[in-house]
Amino acid sequence: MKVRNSLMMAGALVLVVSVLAGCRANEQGRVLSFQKGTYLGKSEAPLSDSTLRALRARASNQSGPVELAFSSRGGAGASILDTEALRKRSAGQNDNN
Amino acid sequence: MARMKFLCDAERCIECNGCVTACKNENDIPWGINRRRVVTIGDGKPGERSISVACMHCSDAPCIAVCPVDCIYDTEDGVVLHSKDLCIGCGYCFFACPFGAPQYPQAGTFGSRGKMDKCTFCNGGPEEDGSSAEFKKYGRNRLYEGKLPICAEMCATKALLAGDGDEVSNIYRERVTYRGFGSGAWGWGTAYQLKSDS
Repeated sequence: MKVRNSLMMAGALVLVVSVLAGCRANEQGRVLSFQKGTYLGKSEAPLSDSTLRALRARASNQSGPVELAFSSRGGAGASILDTEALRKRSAGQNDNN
Repeated sequence: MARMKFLCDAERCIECNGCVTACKNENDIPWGINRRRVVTIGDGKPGERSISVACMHCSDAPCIAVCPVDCIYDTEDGVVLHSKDLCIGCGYCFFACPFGAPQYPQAGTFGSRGKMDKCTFCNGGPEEDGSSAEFKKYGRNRLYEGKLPICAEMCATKALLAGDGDEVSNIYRERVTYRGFGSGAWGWGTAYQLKSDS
């Protein structure tokens, strides 16, 4: 009886140890504990200086023509249309003279 | 060090939805998810404006603050990314985001929320840069290739600007100076201004 109890205890101990060992974060392949407010996952590698230079060059390509706007509002150059030239041309349509 | 930002010039957006289509195509976005959307205010009325909205990659992102499993982080270049390995799909970030950026695919028969998905500024995610695992989970990593987000590069009227904050603000400043009025940079203040108590 005593031997049987000892064997059962040893078996239970082995079981508990193996279960706890299976909970190790490096074996799970994921984060198991959290630190409040801290990201603990895999992180993104920062961009290299040459990549950042290329990105800045591409960003400056976005400038395009400044006069392009589709607003109905006024302003110094709110329209892409040359309103003065259009006014002259529309006046030219008048053949009453 | 760069600080990546989006700017949508509402004076130029013509609601073509090219940015939405380009984003879906480039990142292989599944049905039911739109990382970017075009919203029209005052549709059909004088003064109608359209704006292209996605994650603005805020300077002090509220989604990072509310995430219960801390799966959202910002990179050294100012891009707000998240780990789909850690996300539990709780939806807190959706309620915190002023732009409604986080999206959740339907997962399971009863429509439970899957892992959060959002705009990554075409910077992939926390997997090896340019790997197939990164593309499958997060979409294309264009920044790693030295390219800007596809939505901005595809914009026909250059209404949507993306890139280093200095470059973007220089371009917009030039336009405002020419126009003579400064409206149009929708969401810029909400996303990038310093919070009063920080």
